Amino acid sequence: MGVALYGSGPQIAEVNQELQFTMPSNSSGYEFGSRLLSRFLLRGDFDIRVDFRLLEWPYYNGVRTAIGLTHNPYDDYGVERSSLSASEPLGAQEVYVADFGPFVLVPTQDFTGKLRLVRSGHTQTGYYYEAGRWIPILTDSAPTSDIAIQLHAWSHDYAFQHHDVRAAFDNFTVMTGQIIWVPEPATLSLALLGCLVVRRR
Amino acid sequence: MCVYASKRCASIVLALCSMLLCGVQAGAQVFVDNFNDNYIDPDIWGSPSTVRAPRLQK
Repeated sequence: MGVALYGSGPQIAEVNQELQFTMPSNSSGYEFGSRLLSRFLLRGDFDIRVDFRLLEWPYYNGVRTAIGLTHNPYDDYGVERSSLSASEPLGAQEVYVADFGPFVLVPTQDFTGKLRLVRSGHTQTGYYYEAGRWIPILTDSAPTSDIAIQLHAWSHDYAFQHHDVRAAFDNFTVMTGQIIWVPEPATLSLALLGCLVVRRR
Repeated sequence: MCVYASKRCASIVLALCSMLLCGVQAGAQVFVDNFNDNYIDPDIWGSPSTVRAPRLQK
């Protein structure tokens, strides 16, 4: 859980009442980025959403932003508003992406919008928002266990075009779902101490 | 007697705290983070001290 910066250059901060991801033009790394990993887990069916704004976003800059599910701090699967650059195998594109099954791309020119992930039983569906309604990108299988979420922005040396890039997320919302709060390590230690004392009685 | 009672009381309090902390505050609910704090809320996203230094790249 927590806040993670990796590679060289990326920053993440709450600024102007939104969560801003910054990638300076000199950012580098095989993969580099920043992410928030939730302290809570989601159990069962859920519906999570986030608004995005691309504040400084030259076309085809090679940066991805996403809301995703994760068991592993270094990996996540979800819905993206991403920029693919000309140096990538799929070519230069501005797209929504669902990356939790087959890789599905939806071309877009949106600089503001919303991303949504819904888990229902054994499946999940990724959506983007257009003209007042949610448009599904992909429905595929989903992990059914309790799971954390990530808000994430990243790129790669092979994709990044060395422009200054800034994007923001806002209004992260769990519309429906069962939230399981995970204690921080220090809190967990205190709780375990409590359990030990009780056992000694 | 008094000492025994207070130890017993402390144990019960600790047990209750443990249940609250380990066990989980669950329930269907709407939850929102509007990112209005000007700092990333550690209660939601973990401690800022978990920020890692950039890792070395090959």
